[in-house]
Amino acid sequence: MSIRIYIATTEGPVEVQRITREDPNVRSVICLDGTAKALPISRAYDSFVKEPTGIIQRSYLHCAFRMDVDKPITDGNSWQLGAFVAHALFQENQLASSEDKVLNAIWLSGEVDRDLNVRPVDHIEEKLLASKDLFERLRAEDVRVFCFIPGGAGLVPDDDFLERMNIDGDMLRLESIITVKRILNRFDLEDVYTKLEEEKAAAAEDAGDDVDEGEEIDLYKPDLNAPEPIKDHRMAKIIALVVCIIALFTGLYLQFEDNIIALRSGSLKIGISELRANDDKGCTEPNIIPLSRDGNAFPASPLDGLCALEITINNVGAPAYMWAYAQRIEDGHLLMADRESLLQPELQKGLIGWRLILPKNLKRSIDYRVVALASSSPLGDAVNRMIRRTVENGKPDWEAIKAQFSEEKITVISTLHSLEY
Amino acid sequence: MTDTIPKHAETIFHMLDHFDSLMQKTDTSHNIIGFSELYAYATQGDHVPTPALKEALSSSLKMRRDLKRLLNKQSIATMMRAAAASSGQIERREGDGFVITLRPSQADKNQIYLLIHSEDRDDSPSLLFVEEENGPFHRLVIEDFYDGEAQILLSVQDDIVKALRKPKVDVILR
Amino acid sequence: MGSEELLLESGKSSELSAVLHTISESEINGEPKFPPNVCRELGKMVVCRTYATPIMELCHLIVCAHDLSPQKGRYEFLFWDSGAAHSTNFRQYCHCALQSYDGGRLTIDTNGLQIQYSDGGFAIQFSRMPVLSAMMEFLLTALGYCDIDDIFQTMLVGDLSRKSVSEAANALSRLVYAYLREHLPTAQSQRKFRKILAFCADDVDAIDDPMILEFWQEASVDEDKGVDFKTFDSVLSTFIRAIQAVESARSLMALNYACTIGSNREAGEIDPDILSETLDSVSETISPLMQLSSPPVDQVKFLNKQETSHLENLLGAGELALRLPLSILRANIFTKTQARLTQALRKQQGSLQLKEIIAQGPEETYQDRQITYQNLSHHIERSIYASLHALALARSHETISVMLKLDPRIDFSPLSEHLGLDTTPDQDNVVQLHSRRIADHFIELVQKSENVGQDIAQLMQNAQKAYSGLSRKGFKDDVSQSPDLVQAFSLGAALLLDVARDIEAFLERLDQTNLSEGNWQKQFSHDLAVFCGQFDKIYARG
Repeated sequence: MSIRIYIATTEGPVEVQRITREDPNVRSVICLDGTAKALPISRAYDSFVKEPTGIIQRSYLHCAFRMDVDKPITDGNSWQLGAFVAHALFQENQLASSEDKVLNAIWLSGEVDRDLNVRPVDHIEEKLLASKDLFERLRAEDVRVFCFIPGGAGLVPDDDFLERMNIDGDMLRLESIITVKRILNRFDLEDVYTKLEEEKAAAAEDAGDDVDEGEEIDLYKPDLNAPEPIKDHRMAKIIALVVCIIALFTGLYLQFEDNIIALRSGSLKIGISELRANDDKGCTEPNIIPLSRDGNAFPASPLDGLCALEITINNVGAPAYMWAYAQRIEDGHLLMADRESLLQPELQKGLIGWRLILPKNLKRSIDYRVVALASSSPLGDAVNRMIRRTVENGKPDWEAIKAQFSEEKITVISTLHSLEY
Repeated sequence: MTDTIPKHAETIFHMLDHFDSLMQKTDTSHNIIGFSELYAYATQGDHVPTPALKEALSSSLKMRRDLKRLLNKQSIATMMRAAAASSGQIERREGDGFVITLRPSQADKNQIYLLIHSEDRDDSPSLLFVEEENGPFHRLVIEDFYDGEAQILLSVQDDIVKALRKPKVDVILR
Repeated sequence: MGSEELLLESGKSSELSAVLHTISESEINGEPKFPPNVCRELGKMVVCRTYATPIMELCHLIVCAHDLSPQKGRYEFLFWDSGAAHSTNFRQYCHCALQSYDGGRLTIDTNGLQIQYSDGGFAIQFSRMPVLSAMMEFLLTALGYCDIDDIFQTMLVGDLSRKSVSEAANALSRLVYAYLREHLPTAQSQRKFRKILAFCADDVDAIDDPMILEFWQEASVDEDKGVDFKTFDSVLSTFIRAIQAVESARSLMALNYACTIGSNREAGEIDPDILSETLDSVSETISPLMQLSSPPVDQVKFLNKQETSHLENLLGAGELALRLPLSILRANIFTKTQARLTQALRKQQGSLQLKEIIAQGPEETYQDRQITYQNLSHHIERSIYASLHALALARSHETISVMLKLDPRIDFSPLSEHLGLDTTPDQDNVVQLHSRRIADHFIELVQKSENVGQDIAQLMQNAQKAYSGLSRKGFKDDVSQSPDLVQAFSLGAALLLDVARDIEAFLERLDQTNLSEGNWQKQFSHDLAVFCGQFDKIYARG
């Protein structure tokens, strides 16, 4: 069954009606409603398609296309994500035409860079509002809508807004993404990353890059050069606003994998942010990109360009003893466990966090669980019992660990996250 | 005229009366095309011709003669009509450092791409005029001439496409 | 001449009207290319046939434009790539173009361009260029680009001299003469004039309000197709023009112009320059309105469109407004209804709809219109005071001149003492105030009676109040940073004073008018019945 693509604009959703391969001697063009009226963004579309600047030709091996849309797109680059996914669907013969009946539609806004990362764009709320009628119409027609927006500070609308938009996580879903991979995987589309990786490998080979295959992340034995763990509110103040927004957002419409007590009380939230290499200053002054929770997990973080992760707990309730750890799913290896804060417990509220510096040239994907704990008593003993059990048994039995914490009257929430190679 | 009315009163009256009628703002019975409008049509890509100008250009030989004179003075490049021996449809023209090509769209057979390419010129044309033999002028705005080229998608039924395919037309880039 | 020939003639003259109308409507970058006063000047050249000298100037300007154009020989650039036809734009274009000029023929100074030919020189001022540009537009629109360009090309490719330029100018003048002979026919106008004279038995001095109304009642239902006297305002305007024509001819005779009036006096010819002066003279009262809406004064919106339109009839009549006050009011009040009826007829609406329009009557009464004039008078007074404040803010020496105009009896001695004026007022009450000596705190100083005396302080306080109450274009800009704005306020204030005087005189005249019906209310009721009855006869019967 084909899928319909809507490109979000502040003037309303623009439907991609058709993509056609064109004579390679002409430039790619976006036309209005099947007419000969080429939109002014056609030149930008051509650059988006054609190598060496374009990514469509690299991904789908043709250099000239014509895309027909039902309404004008005036300027900006936020049409790129929609255009890319439309091409991905077109490649698989899954792009719905105007006449096709569909069960699923994708609504997108985002800029796509050469590495297929989704870059932030403005006016997300305005674009969602401008599409409200479309969402209602599609709901009435039983069409499921997937909205994809870029992840990043301030980009995800707040709970009230999402509630007003009737984003229920079922017929109308909203996800923030940082690469297009998630969409390709979700809709089982051609993995163009292979081509991207081949290109990168070739480039790295050209540059004589030295690859270290064996290095493993282990923050249980912290890197001596790593920055101090964040245990006070200095960092918290900087990222508090962003995390609060994410926390509220996730609390409303996306269910945590486990919500034993905290989510009911709404007092304890987990946040994960990526620290990505800055274009100019690399990992010395990375860009902080908070992730938005999607269902049971945060969206996977591609390792490429990832310098570190920041894991935060926000206690918006009464002061409590708080702690968090990150544990690899496959073998229970503790990626993050800050012993010092366990040895000097103190009652805290608000935001506390830890930073995980990732080893360079990490060459494998890692799935791990972040667990946040809060209690009116110091957590050291309970954590020691949990660690012993993990060490003894190898692969952790999460259900058992959870039951243990629960018995000990410890509030516990957890979430899954992947580092994707 | 009697003695009480001076001789020159009537002459002065004519002058005043003519002046009033010339200054009146209500006369719309004549579709006069001001030269400013013709000049803007010939030289400015953002000028939108009025129906009166279009009508005048199709019906008035004098107006077409004026436009032709103006374009000859203002043109960037001129591609004179193809050799008389050409009888088929013309898909490619060149002259004065520019090449004009028509390429059918693969996406829609009713549409065609007009490609304008500069070979060795720095000028950026903003208008294309096609003058048919003894016929009207066709005008096309070149909105996006950049990096030495422009591409315009047109309907194959467009008058300017039909005209461009004819051998006996002059093409002027402005 | 028969009716059909008159109609044909009317078509020719309306083509010329359409040419002038098109020129006045030309726009460039969203603003009129030619300001109203320039269009009026062009119209005057055409009807008075004073085009020979401007065409000569234009030919010299073409030589300049040819030399200055960035691409050799494209004289068109000066006229159509220099923005609206304002002298400042031409000055700017010429200064820019001269930077890359490598010829030896042209020089420039603050006033204009000078051309040096082998047989003499010629100067063209920037202030003339807007009118010459309008003349150029007229030539190309009326006569065609190719024909005119042929003459220019012949002139430009040869050995340029004053003589060759004169020859080109003469060739152009001959084309214009031939065109106007065909497009400015006199038969219809002659018929109108003679009809009016016949009605007043050649005694224009006897023309009064009742006579005009009576004429309209007769002529508007006359079937004479050649001359249209249907609308009351066209009748009034023809009467006014007839009186002005006769009175002007008398003045010319009295001033001994007779011997120089023209080469063919018996045929009634008059020297074009004398005709032109006559037109200026009868337009004296309406011309301030033109100037207010033309550069440089139009940088300040003293009057809006509606206010201007309210004044057009009154000021267009000149002094005759005081002789025909009721006719002016009648035209003001009933013209709109008649225009609606004409419009309805064009749309081929039936007699029922026409009767409805007649029954609705005019939107205002005579008393309403008098209040409108009073309000306008107040607004103009406020604008003059506001201009005074703006000039004081800019520390312009024109401040004193406007003060004098507002109150000629004002005592300037305290002001001169504090501001170090060069002289105290002489016997003509003329005060010299050099701008370099005007104090920084001028505006604060002149508002305090202890500095400048009660009269000036009060005047300036009123001026400030008026200025703060006006928010139209120009009144909120920083006048101290714009010399052009200072000029606009200075000229504008003088023009408004003239307009204000004419309104005051008219209102006074209305107060003294003996009305046949006793008072304005009854007069309006009476006239309403007369006009509605006449409209019914003209439009709604059959």
